[in-house]
Amino acid sequence: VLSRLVDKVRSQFAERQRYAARQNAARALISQSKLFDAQWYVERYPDVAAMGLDPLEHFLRHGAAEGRNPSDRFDLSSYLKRNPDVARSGINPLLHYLEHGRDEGRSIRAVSNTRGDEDFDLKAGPQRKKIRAEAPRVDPYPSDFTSVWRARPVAWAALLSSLNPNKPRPIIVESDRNGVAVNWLAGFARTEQTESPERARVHLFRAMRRVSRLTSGEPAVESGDQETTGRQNAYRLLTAYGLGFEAIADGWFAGSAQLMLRVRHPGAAGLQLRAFQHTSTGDVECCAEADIVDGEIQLISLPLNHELYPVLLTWQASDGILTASALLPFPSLFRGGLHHSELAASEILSGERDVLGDYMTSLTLQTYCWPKPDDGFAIKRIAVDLRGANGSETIFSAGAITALATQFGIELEPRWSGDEDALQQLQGQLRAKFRGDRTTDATKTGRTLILPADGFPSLSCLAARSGEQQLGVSTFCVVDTGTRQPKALVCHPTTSTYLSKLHHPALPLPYPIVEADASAPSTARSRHFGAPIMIRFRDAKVWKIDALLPLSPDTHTPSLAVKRSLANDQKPRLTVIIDRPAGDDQISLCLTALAQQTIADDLEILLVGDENVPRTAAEVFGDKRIVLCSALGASRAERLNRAASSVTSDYLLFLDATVSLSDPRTLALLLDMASQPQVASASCALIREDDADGSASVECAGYLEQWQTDVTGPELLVQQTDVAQIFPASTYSVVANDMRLCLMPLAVWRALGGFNAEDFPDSGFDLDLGLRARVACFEHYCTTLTRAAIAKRMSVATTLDQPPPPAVPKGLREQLSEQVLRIRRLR
Amino acid sequence: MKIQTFVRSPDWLDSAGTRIRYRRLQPEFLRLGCSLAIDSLSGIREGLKLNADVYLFSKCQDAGALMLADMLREDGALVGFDLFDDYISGESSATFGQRDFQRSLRGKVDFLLCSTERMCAVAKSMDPTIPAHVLNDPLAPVTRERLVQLIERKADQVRRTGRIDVLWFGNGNNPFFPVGISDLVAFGEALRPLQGAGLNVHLKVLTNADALDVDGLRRLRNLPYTLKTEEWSAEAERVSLDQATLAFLPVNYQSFSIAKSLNRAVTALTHGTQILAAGYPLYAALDAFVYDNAAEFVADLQAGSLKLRRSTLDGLDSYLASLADPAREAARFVTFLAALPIGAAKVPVEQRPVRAIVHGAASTPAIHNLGRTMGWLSLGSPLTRQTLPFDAQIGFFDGAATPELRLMRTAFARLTEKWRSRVVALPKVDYGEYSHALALPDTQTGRFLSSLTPQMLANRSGRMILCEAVMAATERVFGDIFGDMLMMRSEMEMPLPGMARLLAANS
Repeated sequence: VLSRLVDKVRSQFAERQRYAARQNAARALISQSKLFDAQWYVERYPDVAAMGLDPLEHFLRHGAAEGRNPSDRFDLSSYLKRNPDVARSGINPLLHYLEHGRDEGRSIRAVSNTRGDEDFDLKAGPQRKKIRAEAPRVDPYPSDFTSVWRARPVAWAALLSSLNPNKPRPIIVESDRNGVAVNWLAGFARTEQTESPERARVHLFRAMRRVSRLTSGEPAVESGDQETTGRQNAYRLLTAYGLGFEAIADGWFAGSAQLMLRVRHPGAAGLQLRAFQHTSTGDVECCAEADIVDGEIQLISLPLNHELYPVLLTWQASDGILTASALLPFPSLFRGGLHHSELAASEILSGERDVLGDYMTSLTLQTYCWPKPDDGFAIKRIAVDLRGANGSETIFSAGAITALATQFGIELEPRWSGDEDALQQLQGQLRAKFRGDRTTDATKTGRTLILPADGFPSLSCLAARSGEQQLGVSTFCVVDTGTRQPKALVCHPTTSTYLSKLHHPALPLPYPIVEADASAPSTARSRHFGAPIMIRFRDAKVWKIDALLPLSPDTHTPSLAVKRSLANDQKPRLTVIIDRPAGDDQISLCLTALAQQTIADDLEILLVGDENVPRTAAEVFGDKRIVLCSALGASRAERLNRAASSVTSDYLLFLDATVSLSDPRTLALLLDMASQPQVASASCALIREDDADGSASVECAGYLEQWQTDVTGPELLVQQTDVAQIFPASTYSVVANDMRLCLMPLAVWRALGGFNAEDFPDSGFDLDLGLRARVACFEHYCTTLTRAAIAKRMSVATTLDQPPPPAVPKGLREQLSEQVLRIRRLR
Repeated sequence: MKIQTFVRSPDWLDSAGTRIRYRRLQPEFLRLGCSLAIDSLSGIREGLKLNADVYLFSKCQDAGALMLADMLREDGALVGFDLFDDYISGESSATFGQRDFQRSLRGKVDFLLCSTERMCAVAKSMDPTIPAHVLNDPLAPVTRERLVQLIERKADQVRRTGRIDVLWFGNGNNPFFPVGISDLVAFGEALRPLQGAGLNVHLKVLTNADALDVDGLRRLRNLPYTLKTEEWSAEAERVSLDQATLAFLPVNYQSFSIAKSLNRAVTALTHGTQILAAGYPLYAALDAFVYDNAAEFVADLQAGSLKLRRSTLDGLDSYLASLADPAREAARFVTFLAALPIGAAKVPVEQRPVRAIVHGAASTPAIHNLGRTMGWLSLGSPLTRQTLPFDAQIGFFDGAATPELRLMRTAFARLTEKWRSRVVALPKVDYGEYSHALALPDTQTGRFLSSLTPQMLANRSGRMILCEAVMAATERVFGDIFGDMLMMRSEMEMPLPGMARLLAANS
């Protein structure tokens, strides 16, 4: 059964992927063309505004077919009249013009001001006129391509008032505490003899209320047969009837507990819409009621108990007959919800759009319908790392803690070893007890997720039952705390104990860590890049650090192990190779900074390509420790190869004269990183600071690979990502490091054969060298824990190998990219 | 005993801290035969006489205040700093400037004043040798009759209308820590049981205008209550507290927040407002009058037995008397001061040093002006970016690529004999311009300063690398030409004050 389901889902996914790709391409093309004007569109067609749809979405799905103009610059009917072949083809005329027409010399016309389309009439009638007359003025809903998402409760409020919802009132309509189920829907009672989609969802909704059994004294864990029967029944109902998502046109949160839904009208007028939700105590409450007056789509506002509990919508006729229902098992996936970024990530991973219903179905299957194999894959417990915590993070909210336990069987525990009073209090908060503190969902074996204090487990993490679910154990979403807006999808596959130590002591853990349960079978599988395991709520204030000095001056540097790694307890010797001194100012500053490093005594300076030792250099280091390496006439790569070949130290530091190591602790940390086994290079973030306005930008923080999904499929690109936004003070693995500041063990350098001066004589050579090292199974580490300042921007064209070196086959590069940090933008 | 309190500028004379902490104590000090004056440091320039027995610096964290404190102690007065908030806990937060200043107090003050026991412990952890006293924020006088009226009117109104006015008031933001509105939103769900009980929650947010920016309002939008925002003022706070039935006081668990005083709770109670606290139990001392659970509040409301009611006011009086009675706080403070050794740091007039402030990359005109008023030399360094009439400055003048040393006429007179003869007069000097120039000495120090260029110091990274060397060299040159002086650096650009320690640790 499972394999059939998987095949079916895969086939649907593939089809949806193709459709989504076409739609995406169309949206991109039109939104960038300036021939679609969202503002004009909603002003001209106020019924679109009244429906609350994205204007571009409306134009693509309905507007063009209905003959609506995309802007005053494109008269659609005129285009079709002039081009009957287009009219016959049924292609969206604007899309046709952009894809073919303009290249074929076909002309377009602006919409005539005198005629316009004031008499536009989709379904003429008094109702339509009324809508147009009464439609409130709202701003256009922003297109995904023109603006980022934002909830707009103010604009929606005007629409809401016309729907006459009853005042929300909490009504306890059912309680299982005495073990007697109460029929709480009259319509349901009348149709109970006949299985129907409406009833199926009510059954499913009730099946999700497991906690209520516990409060009635029933065993916490169902016996095998009961459980199997229950799950099979839930599976049958869900696969046969679905969640009823066809009734939901749109949904979003206007505030953390206010779910706005646009629901489709299921039939005749005079229906009563009710919304029910579970509570933490196992009761069911009616959170809203509304009399459906008229219209195709209604907007309702649901004040929820908590966004982690399922919601059921029912439509009842005046005679009590249940005419429709829809089940929302995971409301937090809606826009503005706790887990919306997870849905955004899912869209990226699957290449689909509008997958809310499918994603909820998939999660429902895993959570309520699939058996729980004891393969040790599931998350059994969550330990919250309290470093950097202040108690206002989502994970400490009482509602969230209770919901995690009652709905998912996950209890929280603190992971911390300190003596601060306040954090001791916070520990107690996590261990808060509540009624029904165990549920049937608790797994017997499983792993422990160590969560940063600003993280929250994803629904995938909570639902995943086996390795087939492709849960990314090191993948997480980054979300803005204030707006709940998704920012990035991050995968950090190299989560070694060593790297985990190299991060800011006052900031939350940089990434989630999954610990295997000792009793779990060894077959438990892990994937790195898959569905996110947590949502990280990024608060700029909490993550605030100095752009050039993340570790404050009175902070102890993380313990350095470099000396122990060398034989005979000798200090490592390091030669700094500085190419093309950029004038006395820069080289003086560069050398002064080197002289202030904690390991300055162990440095030797090798100046390349200059006949003269700058006066200040000699004063700073003394003549003995400065060596000149004249290599005039040679290419940059040759100069550095020649310089490096003369070095006898243990380590090489390639340093551009424009780079200043303003933190004296930087080289010690880089040396520590480079002295680890199988490390090819170590570097830190290069920061360019504008003194005029105080702004700072990251010039480079290691090279990362970025996947770009478009119609042609994923492409592997190398970009200098602003990783410091995601990892403000921590250490990670990269594709390659920037040679403007790169520390390498001499042995590795020699083993790799140095720079490829033949193929990349003057332009960048770093990526080529970096990839060769990776092919040879070496790591490149970069850190944002310390940073260096760079005086001027260097263009990508002159620093990166363009195009990327062909020496490494594409397939192999894709494999390599899965071993390093990856960041993908979410929207 | 005459106590003189200094705030950093006239604006701070009306701040909440001044109003609550000092003004409420003034009448009590008078009753004890003492006086408490409150002035800004700029008042000294306008002729304020420095003839007090005790000086208290409030939120003055700069080199000017530190130098003045040192000078006043030298004159035999007792000097203390009021610490207010905890910006100094931990070793790794972004507030290392504050921690650095706190360290610089060592040996320069006679006592520290704190508003809570926790803050006192934090101060002691930084330097256990400085005596520290806890001065609880005193409460404002309140009449019993009015309080009873307010309490009963508010409870009755909620029962009658089903509407409950909840007030959140205070500072909505902080440059370093997530507090204020961030806490309100994070702990906002604590109000949900009110809605669950059918009450119509109207939440009013009374805070500083800059906290109600886009980010603040976005956060507030997440709260599922009818919301009203208003800019804070003393009058608005009074009116709002009189109207509100419930004050919502969430506190997060970070060091900064848990060292706060109980002032907001005390203020709310004296306006007949019930309190719902959430998060860290900061208000545990007022437990008998503070709810930590909205459901309990609802139950008490329905039962007519709210924690703050007519019959519990006697208990409240005795609680407040032990926590925030102005007379008691004034008496305790005077007793504390009386026990301190007077004149421990007094120096005979003839032995008192010449003083100078050496300005770094970021300093303030106020410090310069204070220095000029007090007769200290005000000296500019090559790092200094302000254009002020310093007594002397080593800097890049008129677009020059190398630094020069220039002097005012006032400083010329204070040059040591050896250097006076080497000075070159500058032509066409207007008032406020340098009148003389002096070649930098041909020593290693002088050569180092001469090697500097404006480009090397143009960026913060360059200043981080060179600040210690430049300031040390500048001080050596000024020490050489003016003779022995007590110099103090004024540096407000972060992280430059900490770089010296970082580099010193290396060496």
